[in-house]
Amino acid sequence: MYKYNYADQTLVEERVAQFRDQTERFLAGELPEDQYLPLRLQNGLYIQRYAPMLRIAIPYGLLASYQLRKLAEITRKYDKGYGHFTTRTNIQLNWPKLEEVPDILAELASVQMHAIQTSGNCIRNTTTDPYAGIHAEEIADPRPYCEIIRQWSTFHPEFAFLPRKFKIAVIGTETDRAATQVHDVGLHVKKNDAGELGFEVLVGGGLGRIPVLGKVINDFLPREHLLSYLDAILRVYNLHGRRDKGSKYRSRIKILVDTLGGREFAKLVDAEWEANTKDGPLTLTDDNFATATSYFSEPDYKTFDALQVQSELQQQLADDKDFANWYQQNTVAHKIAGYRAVVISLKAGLVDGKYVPSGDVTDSQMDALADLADEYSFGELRGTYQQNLVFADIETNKLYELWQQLSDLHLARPNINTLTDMIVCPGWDYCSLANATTHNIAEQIEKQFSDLDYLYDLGDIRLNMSGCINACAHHHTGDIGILGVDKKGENWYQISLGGNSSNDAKLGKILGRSVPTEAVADTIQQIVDVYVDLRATTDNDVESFGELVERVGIDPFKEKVYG
Amino acid sequence: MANHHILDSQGGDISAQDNWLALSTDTLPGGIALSEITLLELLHRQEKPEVIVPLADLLNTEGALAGGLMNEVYELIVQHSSHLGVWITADTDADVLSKLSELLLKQTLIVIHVPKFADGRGFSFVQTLRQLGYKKEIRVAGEFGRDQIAYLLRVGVDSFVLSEHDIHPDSKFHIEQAFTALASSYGGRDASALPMFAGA
Repeated sequence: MYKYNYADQTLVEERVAQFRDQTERFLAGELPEDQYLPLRLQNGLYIQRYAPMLRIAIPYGLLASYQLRKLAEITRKYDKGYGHFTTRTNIQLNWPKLEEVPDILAELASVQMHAIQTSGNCIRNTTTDPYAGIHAEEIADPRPYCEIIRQWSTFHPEFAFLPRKFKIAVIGTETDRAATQVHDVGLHVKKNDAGELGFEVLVGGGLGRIPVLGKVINDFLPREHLLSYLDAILRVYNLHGRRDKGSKYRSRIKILVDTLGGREFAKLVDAEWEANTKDGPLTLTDDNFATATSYFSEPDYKTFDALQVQSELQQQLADDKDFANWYQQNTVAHKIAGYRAVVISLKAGLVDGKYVPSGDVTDSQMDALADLADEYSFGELRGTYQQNLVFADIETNKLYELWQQLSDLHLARPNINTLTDMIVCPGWDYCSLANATTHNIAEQIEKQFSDLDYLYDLGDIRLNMSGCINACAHHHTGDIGILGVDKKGENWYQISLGGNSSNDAKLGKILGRSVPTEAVADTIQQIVDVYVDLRATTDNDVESFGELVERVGIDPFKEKVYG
Repeated sequence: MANHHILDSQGGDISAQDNWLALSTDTLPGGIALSEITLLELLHRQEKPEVIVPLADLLNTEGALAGGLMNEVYELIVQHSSHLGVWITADTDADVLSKLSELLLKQTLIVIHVPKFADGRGFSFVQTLRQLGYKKEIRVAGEFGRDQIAYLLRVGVDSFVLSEHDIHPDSKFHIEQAFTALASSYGGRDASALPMFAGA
């Protein structure tokens, strides 16, 4: 994991001082609201329905145990004892006091954390694959590139007041677990025929009001040009992106790329790049890459007797069905024999009859997870796009005892990739942008789909639910997407089917008119029934929900729901 | 005109030494310079002042130098000025700037007008001008805020026009602090300056 040196640490501390000064001037009436607003946003601070919301950066989702412990302490001391993990692998506090935010930032700085550029019209936290560095099919570990981008984009003086926000995602495998096609820039690590590393560069993806998939503007950008090329993309966007009044929803780079077309946009970028920055001081050297890579070296993996590991595991799986379910759903193959990655489900559903919102973790859970990370996973955790956490390096023979401890914490629900592994934004309950509540709907769905064996029979179904058109929960890319809308003061829900955020990314199609609050779970049930009726089954394969929608379209579902 | 001050890159007030006059036109926003001068006054004045003219009025609708509103009188302005500068709006097409490098490189001062705090095009204009090889003074005027000064300095701005209101002369939050905020952050132009490569 990257450890701050003196320069990073100084920078973060200077930022705390700067924001303290800005907040004091704002409270003293010396900094106008229209200036304080973008400044506080660049420190992750929103004003929400009841209180400010502070979004803390977790760069590319990587979190050390001591950082998680600090987060637990902060939620206890300054908030209500819980935090909310987001699709962009950040964590949000819902109840901080404005005047205490500088103190929170100072506490964060003490563990190399911050809220820099987690909001506002600037370059946001770079995200990546939660299995970076541990996946057997990986071309190269994306994290060193993420860290280079983090350092380049932090306080970049030219790109702090862009037309709109700007999100970058990097992956190092063929399989896309970071939704790169719906990012402003998606970078796919590639190797050319000569064995050199570079990137396929996608630009102009994004969801929100006008969902668009990214377009490839460069098939292979040699990696030494990473920063100079990003610099050219950002300059073209900063100068040409829309800023006219009332065009907030047309200000993202996706609109510029769509208007010009991918090829024309690529030409502008190439012209800027070739004329000004290519081969200039932003060019990265092999030494630079070696330095960056050195921060993500492999931990001290042990060697195991594979036969013994397997026989012990098989015994445990045979003895305990609950463990077997969890192993099946919540653990992932590791490139090192004798290790697995573990997905910690932050979709506990109903705990003692009470719904726990997707992505929410309490302070005591955070403390416990930090201890477990120290004991079992080299002191590290990762956040995922699906609002879960990951222990990346668990010894296979420790899975059983880890599972028992996670179960006690309500963090071992074996529902990863099932219908109840929902991505859900906080909705109207917290967010002042939202049109509708989401938690009550998620609770309804939890109650309807509580039978685990039934969920397993349904297989992988991604359900994403946003409380407004801004689409923080990426409803467009769910197999099932739910969008809350407001109709004359009542919450209604529009359902879409067939979305996907991975390699064959596509945007869901709207099923039809929206349904009232009380009918959402029943409607999802009808949709799922159609799937069960129509899915093709062979001896060794069952057609997934996504495959079925792709094959038959949405008409059979329409007929069932509205017919 | 509102009471404005010119600050140099250290935050020092250089208003007393600054003699630039903005040529009065219909579109002249406040705070391009400390004072204005009309064309008529300029032509009748004995000594030759330093004059800032609007780039937009020198150009035709295609962004070329020929046929602009002021083009016919530009030679007169040149003759009656000791030094010349231009001010540019945020709506200026960056591609136009690139085509006008000959004219721009002759200027002693280029003032970039920021229409709105959140409008960050000016940051890239500075970069574009420096890429064209412009080495003389770049000044920022308009609705930028003191909290952007540290960033503007790093992209290559030399001086700032601030209103009395922005400076808050009696405040305990001295304007000088704005010039030293985020003192360790880098300019964004050099990979070797990233913390992990700088070997700090």
